[in-house]
Amino acid sequence: MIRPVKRVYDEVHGYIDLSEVELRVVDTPYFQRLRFIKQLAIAWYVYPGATHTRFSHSLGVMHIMGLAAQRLYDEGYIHSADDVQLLRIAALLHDIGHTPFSHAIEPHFRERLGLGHEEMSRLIICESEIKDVLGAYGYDYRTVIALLEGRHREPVYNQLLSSDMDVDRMDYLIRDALHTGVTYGTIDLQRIVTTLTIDGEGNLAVLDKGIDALENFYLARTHMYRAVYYHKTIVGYEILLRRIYEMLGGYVDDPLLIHDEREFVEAVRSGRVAFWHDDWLIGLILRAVRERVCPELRELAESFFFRQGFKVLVDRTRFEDTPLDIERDGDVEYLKQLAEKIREAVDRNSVALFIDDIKIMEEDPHLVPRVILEGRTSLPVTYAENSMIRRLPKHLHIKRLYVMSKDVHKALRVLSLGSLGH
Amino acid sequence: MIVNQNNEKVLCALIAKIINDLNILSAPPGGAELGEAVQRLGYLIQRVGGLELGLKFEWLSRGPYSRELQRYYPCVALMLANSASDYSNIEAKYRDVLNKVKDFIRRVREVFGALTLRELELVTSAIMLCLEVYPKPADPVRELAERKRIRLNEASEALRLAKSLGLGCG
Repeated sequence: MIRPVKRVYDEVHGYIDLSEVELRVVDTPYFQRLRFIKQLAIAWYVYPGATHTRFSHSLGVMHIMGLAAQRLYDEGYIHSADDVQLLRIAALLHDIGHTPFSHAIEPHFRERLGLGHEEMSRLIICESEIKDVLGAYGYDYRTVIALLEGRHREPVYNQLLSSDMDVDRMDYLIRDALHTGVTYGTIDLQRIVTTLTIDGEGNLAVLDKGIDALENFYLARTHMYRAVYYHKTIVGYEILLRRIYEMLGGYVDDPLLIHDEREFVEAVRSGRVAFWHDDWLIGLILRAVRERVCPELRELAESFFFRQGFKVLVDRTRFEDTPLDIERDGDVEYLKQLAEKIREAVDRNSVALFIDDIKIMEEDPHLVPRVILEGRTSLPVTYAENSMIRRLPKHLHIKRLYVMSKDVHKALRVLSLGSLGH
Repeated sequence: MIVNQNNEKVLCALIAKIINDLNILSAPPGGAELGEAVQRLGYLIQRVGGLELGLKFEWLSRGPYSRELQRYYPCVALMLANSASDYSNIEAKYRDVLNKVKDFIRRVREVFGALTLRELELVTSAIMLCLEVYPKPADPVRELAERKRIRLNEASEALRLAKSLGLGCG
């Protein structure tokens, strides 16, 4: 058990205890930044209550990690109380590198700069006072980074932080379900944690009496993917926000408009990155509008602020059991052709395609959560004949064509001409 | 040398060629066995062959694992199933990479007297334990032997092979 020095009241978990080292980490400007980054980016466009933050989520993940690690420690699978604390620290820091507006803007950084939030987390830990705080309490920052990167010497620790059944997912499913009101996204956290164990090969596993909770977990994820994370309107506004962000750099100068890793490191070292959050970006967009830097940017920004953004014209989203073959899929081909046709009738930038293949569950037996049915032998839960998990869809194929609100009528006219035979 | 996402077919071909040339799979490729082969060879191509694929590997109970490599399973299976698969365009351009990986795998076979996915798991685990896993184990031989449930001398051989690569294993 950790020795708490402070308690924070959380709407999901009740009281969350913080040890001294955890409090010191939380008190750094780098962690305080997470108060200003919403967990679900702009999901509040659809679910007005979805304004919870990465800050509360990070505390929640740490709390669940504490529960899981303590159980495994009590069962004798984790040998050191220090490791329980280490795991909690890693859980606390797992999202420290998130971009403003989380997953809406991150694809830009991943594709253009080669930086995902995992790399940014590593850089923040390495290049900021967080490293010194950890060192002051005897924790090696490289061990924390190894945990975040899945390279810790103990494979189970890596699985606790990143797997189909990790502590991150456990918190965000409950938290996001609560704040959106999507009640079928909730899970039985207590049951999952109390049935966690390690199998004979050193993998994280669940006892057979936890299989119902595990099934509920997968069902909840499936519902949340469709109802929230890839909701048609939310995705449309994320596309719009990303376009605005990519245009901003051409018209506005700001030291937090980061162009490469070197600039990011500089922002971390100087402490400026503490202001790199949702409110900063909104402020920058408003500045661009006020200064009238570009009519097109102004139009996009107004579409964003006044809910006149992208609307779905055609949606062929469906659950499937196989990966999406983008090159050969008939729906994708149709949407691409239709997009080109519509671009002849409207501004090219008014049209956007969103094609993605969301994996609902892992299929590789090395990664699928394991269930212990008898003794200590485990099998992947997808092999368990008494489980419905094997019957759940494996993928969510998202295939959508979006058009800006102002051009929907013109686009519908093109669609109604129906020359593409679908 | 850096390979970008547009060269996915290159990686598929490299893996399929090595599997074919060295007869790594004991049965027609499919399911878990193929996935495991792709994981082992993907790791060796990046680490031993020196081809920078940008793949990130986690340390799991069966050794190094990359989630990004999962998307290569179908194309490798397709190439292996097609006896007319043409490898000529990669043989010339990536000869150095292929030679390094195949030479290493041949040495694995000599040392262990066999070459199955088990031996590849041992050596890739040994390499990752040396180079990437943190904290470093005080006794890597014992660590590897306990994790893989093998004899100490087998673990020792696997680590010796890892060190012979000269990549920085202590």
